[in-house]
Amino acid sequence: MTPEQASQSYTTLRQQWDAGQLPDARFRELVAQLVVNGADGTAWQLDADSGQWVVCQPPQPTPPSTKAAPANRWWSILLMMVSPGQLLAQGLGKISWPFALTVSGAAFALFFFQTGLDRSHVNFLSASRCALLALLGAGYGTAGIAAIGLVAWALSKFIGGDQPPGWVIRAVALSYSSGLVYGAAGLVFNLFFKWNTSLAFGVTGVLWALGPMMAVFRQLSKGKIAGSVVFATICGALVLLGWGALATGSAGR
Amino acid sequence: MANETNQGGSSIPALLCFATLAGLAAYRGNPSLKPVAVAAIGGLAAAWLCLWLFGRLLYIFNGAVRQKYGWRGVRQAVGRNFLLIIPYTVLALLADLVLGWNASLTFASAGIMTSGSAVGAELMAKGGGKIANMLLPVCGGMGFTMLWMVIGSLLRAVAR
Repeated sequence: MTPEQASQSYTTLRQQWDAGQLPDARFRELVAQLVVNGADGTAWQLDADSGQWVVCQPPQPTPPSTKAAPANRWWSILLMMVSPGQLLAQGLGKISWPFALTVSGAAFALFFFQTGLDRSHVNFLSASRCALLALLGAGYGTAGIAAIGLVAWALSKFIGGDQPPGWVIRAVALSYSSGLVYGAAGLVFNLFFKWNTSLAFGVTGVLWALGPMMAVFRQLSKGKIAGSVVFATICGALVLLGWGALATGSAGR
Repeated sequence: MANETNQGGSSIPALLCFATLAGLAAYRGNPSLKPVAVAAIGGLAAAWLCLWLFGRLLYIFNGAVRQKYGWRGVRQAVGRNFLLIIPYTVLALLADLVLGWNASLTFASAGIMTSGSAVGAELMAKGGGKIANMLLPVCGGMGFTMLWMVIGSLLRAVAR
């Protein structure tokens, strides 16, 4: 590795760290690997904080407990909601695509079901129609979100994304973990207190997913904020308009 | 020290989004230019105040980040992460103009909570406390949302 290559890698890592995409420990670990040998055999490395060249220190052993373990599947639902950058930096841990699409499918099934329940509070809407809406939501949350994941993968090519389509679909689907959490809470309030929850809980959960989705694009673009915001907006608009057409249209006006 | 300036950190895009959201809410009540303009300008001022208070809250309770990056670092983190309000503003416009919903407040509150959490995550990655940066953005975001609701109602009343 040449000093120029090491400096370039440092700048990229530093930008990711500054943007909050790279955990501090991981940033320092990666910077410590940027070692260049001088003509006299001295090993040099970049200081993680200042970016200045310093003489290489012998590596300190890291206790095993401080290494970040991949998140388990259930914890990853909450982690994707509150700190998506951390989960994405771990390479999505043990999340398989069926699990990720199950999360988004369940989130939209609950959301569509509550749309039906809300309408049944005002006009008569049979239980079977509400169940049909839930099924439609499950389909939208799996096939529809997988399709939007493919769109996201195609868009990511414009910002230098190099992840395979499967990774992008898993990440986009898991972004809707907030929809699942809000959907479950909304269902309780809808059934027991007869609140109209599709907007207050359902839309909020789906809107929350824009945050993780932007983190996905930031990860794909290696920290470019503008591109991430634009592409997350496009994907969010597709999801919103799809829901508007399917859920409100199918329930009848 | 850092590259924060290269990463941006201006609050102007976020302030313009809040002005749009305030104008949109007023437009539903009275679709003429003057009330919408009054609400947009008032919304911009209110959002500036809310963002400042939100930044100050995180600055006060983040000793490590405060020492390392100062107020400028925290302010830039707030400005940078509140760019996340842009998609919510675009979707609020779409929902209003295409779907006919009057839900700009729902979009604003979801955007505030998401952006606030992103600020907390960034400060955590920069060495801030985990608990403080998970709880404070939620509490601050809720306060921001409530203040935004109150100010929005006042602006609509004034605009009428």
